Amino acid sequence: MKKLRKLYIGLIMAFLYAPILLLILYSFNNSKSRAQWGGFTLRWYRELFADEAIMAALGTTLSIGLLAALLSTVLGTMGAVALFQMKRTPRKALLSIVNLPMLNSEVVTGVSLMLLFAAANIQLGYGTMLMAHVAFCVPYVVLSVMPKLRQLDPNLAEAAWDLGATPWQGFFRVILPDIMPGVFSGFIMALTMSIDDFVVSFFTTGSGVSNLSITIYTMAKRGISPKINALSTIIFACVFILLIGINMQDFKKDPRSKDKVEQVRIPY
Amino acid sequence: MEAKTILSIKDVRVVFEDGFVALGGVSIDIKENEFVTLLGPSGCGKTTLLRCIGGFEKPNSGEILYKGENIIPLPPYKRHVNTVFQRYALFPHLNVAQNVAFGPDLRGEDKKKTAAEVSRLLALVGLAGFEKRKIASLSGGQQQRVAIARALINKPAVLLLDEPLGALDLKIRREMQIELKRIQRESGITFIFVTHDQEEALTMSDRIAVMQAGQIQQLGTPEDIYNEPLTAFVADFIGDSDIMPGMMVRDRLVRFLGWEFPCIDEGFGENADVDIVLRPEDVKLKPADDETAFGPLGVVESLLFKGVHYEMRVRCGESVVIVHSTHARQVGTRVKLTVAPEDIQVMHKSESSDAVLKKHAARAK
Amino acid sequence: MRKNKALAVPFILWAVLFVVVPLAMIVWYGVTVDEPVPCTEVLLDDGTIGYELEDGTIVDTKPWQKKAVISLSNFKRMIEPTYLRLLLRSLKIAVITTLICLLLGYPVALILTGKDFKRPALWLMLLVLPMWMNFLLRTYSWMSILENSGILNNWIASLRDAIPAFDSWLTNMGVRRKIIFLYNENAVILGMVYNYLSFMIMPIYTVIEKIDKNLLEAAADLGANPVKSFLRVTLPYSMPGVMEGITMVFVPAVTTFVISQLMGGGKVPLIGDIIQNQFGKSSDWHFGSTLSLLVMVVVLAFMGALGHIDKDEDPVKEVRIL
Repeated sequence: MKKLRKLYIGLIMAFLYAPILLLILYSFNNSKSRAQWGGFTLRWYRELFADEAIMAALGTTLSIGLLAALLSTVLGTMGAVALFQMKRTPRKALLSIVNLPMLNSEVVTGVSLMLLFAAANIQLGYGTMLMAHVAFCVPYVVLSVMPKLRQLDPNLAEAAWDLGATPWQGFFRVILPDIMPGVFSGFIMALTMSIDDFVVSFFTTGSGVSNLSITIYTMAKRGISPKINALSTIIFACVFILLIGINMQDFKKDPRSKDKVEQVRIPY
Repeated sequence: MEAKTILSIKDVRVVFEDGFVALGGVSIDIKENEFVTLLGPSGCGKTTLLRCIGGFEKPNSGEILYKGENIIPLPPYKRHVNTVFQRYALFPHLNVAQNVAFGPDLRGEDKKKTAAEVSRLLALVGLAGFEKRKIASLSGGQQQRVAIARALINKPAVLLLDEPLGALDLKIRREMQIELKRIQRESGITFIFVTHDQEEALTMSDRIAVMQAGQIQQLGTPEDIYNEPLTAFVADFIGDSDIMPGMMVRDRLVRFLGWEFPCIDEGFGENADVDIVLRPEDVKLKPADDETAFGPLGVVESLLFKGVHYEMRVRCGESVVIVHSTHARQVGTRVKLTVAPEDIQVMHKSESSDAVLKKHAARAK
Repeated sequence: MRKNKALAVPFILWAVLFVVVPLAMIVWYGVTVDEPVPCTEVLLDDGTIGYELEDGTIVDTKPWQKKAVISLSNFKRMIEPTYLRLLLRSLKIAVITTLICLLLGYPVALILTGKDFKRPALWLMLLVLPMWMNFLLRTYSWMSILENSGILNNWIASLRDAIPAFDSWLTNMGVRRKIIFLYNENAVILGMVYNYLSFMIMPIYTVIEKIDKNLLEAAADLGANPVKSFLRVTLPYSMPGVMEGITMVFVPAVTTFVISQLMGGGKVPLIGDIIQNQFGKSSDWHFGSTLSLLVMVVVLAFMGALGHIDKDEDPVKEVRIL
């Protein structure tokens, strides 16, 4: 039985990784054809960095990813804190608005933002794509910060004020450090969503601005250059190393983070 | 010499948004270097009063004067009071020393001086050498001490403690009671202590304010409160007691349990309905055939050994009286119940007495 | 008390500007249609053609300015058999995809939470990792495996050459030399399962992992065999994760247009393709919006059926922290 279970996991992993390994293999393939092995080469890696279109798309993807993640983290954290302090009814109303983009399919989100930019007469391009990415990333940040806020000791901020901190000092010295894991995972989630996004970008970009996804989509019709494979291999390797690193740190994490949410005592 | 009043609370009212009256006009003067306890069941408004003093709750009306100045408009960070929260609210990302140094660091005080002060206070609360420890690695009692040190380092004029011992187990709680009392004496700071534990209140306080339904029912020394409860509620809440309805026949004579007892109370008028409070240890049981004893007859219904004493339930007509005695009487024994005149507490009927009487009457069933 | 209302302002602004207004615009576009500005063609003095509007002004180019008129004609068009058939196909493919993901993914979550793997977190990470490779690229990679002269066909061909018995068996079965894997519904489903499988595994894993192990021990103690304790304990307790997983797979599956274009080669158009088309080539934003509305309603109805809307998990009393 145990062997069977391991085999099953192995098969699923093979299913998930087969295309990826293939991609990595192609990035070293000295032949433009996808079906033949033309020998090992690093040629695509060299050419990759000389390809201005791909480099530009990479730049767009990374800069939009980082900017969108940063902006949506700030906005989402502020939003989560504001939501947290609201009364029940407005909070529920706002929370369901926050949830909408996550329930909505990407197509609807993309199309609706496109209509918005068109109505506001904003030229589609880098700016609109960035705005759109911030727009759909915010909910992920809110939803990853909220649970951390709920876990806070309800008197924590009051304790800071009590010891002489102004509300802002209290926030930056006490609350923010405590909810940081949530803020950080929100940031990572936003970054991931932004970098991997195709659909929303597709509808909200213009003037020749394209990110990697759009570049790949355009290429897919004519045949994808092995240079893209090379680039993906590099990205994949970076993420792999990064994730392993984070995972290693996970073991050292303080046990407090695993605490169950303690009941909020009603203070009177 | 009469101690100076440091904090004067005048007719403070707090009504929550849902219309619940948390404090219905509370007034109390607190003196320098005093240990005052706000005692009452949950929902009585004691924590709300503490939060008003701390600046976390804004009263709808009334005044809180600190050395004569109304501090209600001041935010918490501008008040000369500090709070020890129920679950300590220590900052989990800072270590023990950083937690204690939080206040001085905010004020930008000299690091070296602060470090020395931190060590001094940690020693005061019995945590010398714990500076570098993580908060998560401390036990409940240790966290408690850190919270106290963190508050004391700001040299507050008044320290507010919100059920600080509630989360500790019994043995550590007893230790901390003594500790807190010592710290208060040594630091010379006024303590306002909130608890629902009457034993804790009686042990530690200079004065106790018993609160119920947003009102102070009685304010006095522990002895006053225990021996001379003003209302049936206070009598019921503090210590064990038998509470029953009675009638003041005339001055110095009161009728309850179907018997007329001599007492020392006067001025209730003739045939006035009153509440009677007896402490279980004040009711003496005599053999039914004791000719020298005067009192109603009863039958022992149950007998429990409680360590220091026995607890007996004695049925006397419709009522059941709880009696504590070091002398056990077997179940079924017929006894006479006697009470010395000065041990009978006679009280005016009050709003809250009905509920208390009902509760006690239910024991007879 | 001092509530920092200012903090909520940018956030509410975001919610209104980027969520509420865009959705309102979809609704508005969906219930309106364009009417060309009435005009007549006239020959201008310089020999070119101009257009005369009703008020007598003459313009060079055909008046592009359209005015939206409220009309339900797009709704009528939407329920034409062509589009209904597309919607039904999208739903069918999405349902099949979701079921396959559930059948494949649930055991993965179950096994990983069991005792077989010492570091389940690591394995979970490995399950998520592929998502970091651009999904278009991953899908494209499948195409190179499955296409007519692709890897799979090459392998099968060389197997046939190597083992004559295998070859004749396949020939007898009526299998062609080049098997057509791509450009049909099955290929689209494969692409979707591949892309969305992790979405199913993650939430189920999270929920099963949280089940109190004591419950299982108690069940075993009470004489439940592993099958029974799975049916009585694990399965019911994991239902919230299953629901979450179903949602996370179904919603994108019903609306995707990329996978159907790549794996289906345009031969298996889905409702998402039509929407994309309306905002691209055909440029009928009104009809596109009507279809988007349809998709939204379908998704919401689906969520409603799953009882997924308005899961109220916060009993928090309002607490001030700033």
